[in-house]
Amino acid sequence: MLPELSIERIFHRELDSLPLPPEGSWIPHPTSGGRSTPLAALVVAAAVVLVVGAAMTIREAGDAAATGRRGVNTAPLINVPRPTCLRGACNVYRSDAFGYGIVLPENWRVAPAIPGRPAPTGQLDRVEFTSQTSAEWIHAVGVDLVVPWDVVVEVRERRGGLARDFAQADGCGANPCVAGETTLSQSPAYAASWPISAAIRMQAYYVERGDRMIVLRYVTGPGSEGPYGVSERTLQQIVDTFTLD
Amino acid sequence: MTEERWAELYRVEFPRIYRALLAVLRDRDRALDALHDAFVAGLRKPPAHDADLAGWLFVVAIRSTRRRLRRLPLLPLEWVNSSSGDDEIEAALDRMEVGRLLAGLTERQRAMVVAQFYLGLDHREIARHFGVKTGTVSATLAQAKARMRAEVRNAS
Repeated sequence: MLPELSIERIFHRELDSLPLPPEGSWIPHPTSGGRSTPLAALVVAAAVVLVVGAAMTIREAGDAAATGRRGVNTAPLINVPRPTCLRGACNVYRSDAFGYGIVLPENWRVAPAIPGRPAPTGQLDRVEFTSQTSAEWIHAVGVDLVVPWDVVVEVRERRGGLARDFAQADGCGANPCVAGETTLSQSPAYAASWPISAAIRMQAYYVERGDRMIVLRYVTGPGSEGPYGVSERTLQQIVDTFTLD
Repeated sequence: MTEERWAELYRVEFPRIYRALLAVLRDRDRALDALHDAFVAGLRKPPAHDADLAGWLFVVAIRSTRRRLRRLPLLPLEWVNSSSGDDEIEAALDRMEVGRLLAGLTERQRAMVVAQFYLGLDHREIARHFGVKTGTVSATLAQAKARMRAEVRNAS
């Protein structure tokens, strides 16, 4: 038998040596606990509004696949957002503002924002996930706004539009397009795939979410494998982990 | 219980519960998130008795981490194997005898072992907090101890 009293002493001696976080972070909100719950809720709501507003203001836009625009200024970027760490890993990204989560392979990251790039009308949020380093990504986006082998999640205003309408506006209508109903995070979704060029193909998923449209998309090609061994299977695995609150 | 009183009790218990959660979850972010969730849960509906506070906070926090996990789909196996945890805490725990013993247990076993040996809860209290039968706690702890004994034997 293990000597339990000794074990208890060892537990206290060893675990009591683990470092604590700064005391200011012990309680979730910047409050002493005396704040009333409704007021705390208002503070949280205000914070969300600020975050959304800031995201709308500073988030780079450019639906590269949809517009095909080129020649974007790719100045060095700062303030790369870090994924939220959950599940003991730091490769799970959560957007509390827009209520979704996505799991990324270990070496993936959020692509840097491009300052000065205006958001298209109706775009509320856009996050691009990439396996490339910031320097590699900036080089890639400088060549073409479409960065193949990345995964992009966008939140757009629906304005009454259906998933099919959005897919067509993005390019599904003007190209030989393969489209159909599917599910994403147990929600009905519209999947569309169309060629951007002879060697590059767009895959997009549209989920109607109240007055918003969630769009997940990636571009493959040329070839069957991107940087760091990313394949379409990798991208599909990432899309499959997408979760809506 | 007033919010002020709740915050005061929470602050007193924070170091012990946070460290207990570190030992179970082996990740500072998860431990802090879980304790924050427990604090908010206590604001909404505090535990009936102050005396149960440590066990209550611990178990509510553990449950919160499971709820967070359920909100995400399962990871492909190769991603789980390659995912990076909290290296600093992992390293600190691996330097400890206790950390090495706990590392070989499941998260549920770790939670019950820590509840017993660090938080000082008995089998009945653990059963009540975890919502399981006392016999289940006894069996889980027996399995955990057997694993820890095997780890001690292997190490020596």
